Amino acid sequence: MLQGLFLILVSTVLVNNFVLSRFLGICPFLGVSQKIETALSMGWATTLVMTVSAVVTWGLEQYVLIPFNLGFLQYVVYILVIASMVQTIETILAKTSPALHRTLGIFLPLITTNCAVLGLAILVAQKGYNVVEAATFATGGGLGFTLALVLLAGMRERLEWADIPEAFKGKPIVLITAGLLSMAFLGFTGLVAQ
Amino acid sequence: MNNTIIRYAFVLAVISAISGAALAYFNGITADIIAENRRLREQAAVSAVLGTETFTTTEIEGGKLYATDTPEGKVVAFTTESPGFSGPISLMVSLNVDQERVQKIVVLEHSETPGLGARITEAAFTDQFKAKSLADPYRAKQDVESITGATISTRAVAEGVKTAADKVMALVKAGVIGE
Amino acid sequence: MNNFLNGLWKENPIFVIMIGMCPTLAVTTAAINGIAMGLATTAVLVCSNLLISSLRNYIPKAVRIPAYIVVIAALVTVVDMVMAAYFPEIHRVLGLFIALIIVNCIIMGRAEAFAAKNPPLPSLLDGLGMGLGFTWALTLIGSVRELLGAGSIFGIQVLGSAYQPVILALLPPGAFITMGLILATFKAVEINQKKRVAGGVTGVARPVSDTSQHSISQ
Repeated sequence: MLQGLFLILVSTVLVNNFVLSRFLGICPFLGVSQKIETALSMGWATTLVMTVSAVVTWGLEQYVLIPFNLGFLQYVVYILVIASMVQTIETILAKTSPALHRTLGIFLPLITTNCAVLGLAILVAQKGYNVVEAATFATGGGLGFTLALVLLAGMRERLEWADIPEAFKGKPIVLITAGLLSMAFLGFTGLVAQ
Repeated sequence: MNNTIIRYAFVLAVISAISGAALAYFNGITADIIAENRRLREQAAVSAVLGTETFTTTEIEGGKLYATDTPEGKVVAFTTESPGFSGPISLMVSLNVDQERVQKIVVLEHSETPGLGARITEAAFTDQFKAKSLADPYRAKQDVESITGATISTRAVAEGVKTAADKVMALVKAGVIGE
Repeated sequence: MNNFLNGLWKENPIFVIMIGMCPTLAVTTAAINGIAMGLATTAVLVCSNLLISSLRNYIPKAVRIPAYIVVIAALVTVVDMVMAAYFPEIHRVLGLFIALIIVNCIIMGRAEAFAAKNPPLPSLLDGLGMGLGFTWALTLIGSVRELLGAGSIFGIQVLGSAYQPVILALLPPGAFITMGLILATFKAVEINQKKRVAGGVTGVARPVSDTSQHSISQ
């Protein structure tokens, strides 16, 4: 059981990285990766939202949508849950830890439109995980997202000092760097038998 | 203040209700078509491996078994999943239970690398499994010719077919299925 | 008319504003996929812009985001159902990304930035322009990747069998790199044009020296 969970974790963080393989969460990946610090904050916030929403949407899917044959409401329900989770987490954070809220503050609303969160919820339903597997998958997804973000941020901080050809300055070189990072992660394929 | 909250809730409720109703309506129209599409795909895959459109379907543990009688013996078809290089490979396999041979395989779904592992769908590869005896080892690079640069995908298919076929043969012999 | 043309070029969602990147990179393994995704998104965008614009005076500002979300999610669900029923093959290829149209920043972005503040007809045109701009961008990227990775465009074999395909183009790294190269190409063209204009104004060909005025770091 534990081994299965560990495999899910490794597979989601490295082999099928949400950003570099599945292409989920690209907007924040490109938009919020200028500095390692901000990347880390975004990563934690997203991982938190992902894990919580995965569990809640799992619960709704199992106990409401499926039994009552409301499958066609899946997308509407999921995205509303995610939006509410983000709002709830933001409110809770503001009350319990103002400092943390200030650091994560601006990123939280952005997480609602992060395709990684909705994509994750739908994938969980598709894969038929149980609640523990779903939570592990979500955490893995979030960690993989954070890893990709931080790695890219690290490289972008270095790129600031590099002599880049005019046409490549800005987004083009970031994309190519991301491509090289993705290539590196390709090396993990086959690590875990799917 | 209370009034505004009620107004907010009302607006949201109306929008949600109308959306929900619209979705239920469209669901009514399309659900059957979607289910039919799925059924047709499945039928097509089964016919492809059995070589005939007439067959019986039985439920067994873990899926369905499709059976038909041919002059060469009784042939059954079933789906199986095998872990590939980049994800599970889903296969439809037909088995001649009287001759204990795999008759034909078809790759249903896979996420293997295009140009490399994805070549398991090519006839040149799957034809190797035509009328292949179950007594063979089903090992890549031995009795199964491997796709260059895609040994893992090859192995996944070969072992997947063998394992599933053996299991089904065992079920047939134990009299769990069929006459 | 301007509303329509805006999204096609000047404020092209992919190449200029750079939103809606997830489906762009994921789905463009073939030109046909690019078009399909683009058109599906355009359908949702046009309908959502139209609906939200029509309802803009009835939705209180404070609850507008959840309201938009419900509308958009419902529209996408309908598109998903219709595609699953009538275009099952394309539906299978696009898979998860049809659902992800819901969180495609283009849709929410245009709803907030345009449809919420403008009447229905301009909003419809804006949606159409942005959607088609998205579509041609996706088709371009898809064509490049398909050409490099499989030697074909829209399934028609263009490069002969002697061509060794760059499989990487079809894999995730290829998506990032192709996108980066296309953007760089556009920028290079733009820089070239600016240089030519600058040279023409003074009537003297300017030497390629100080490029600091062209700094476009983001």
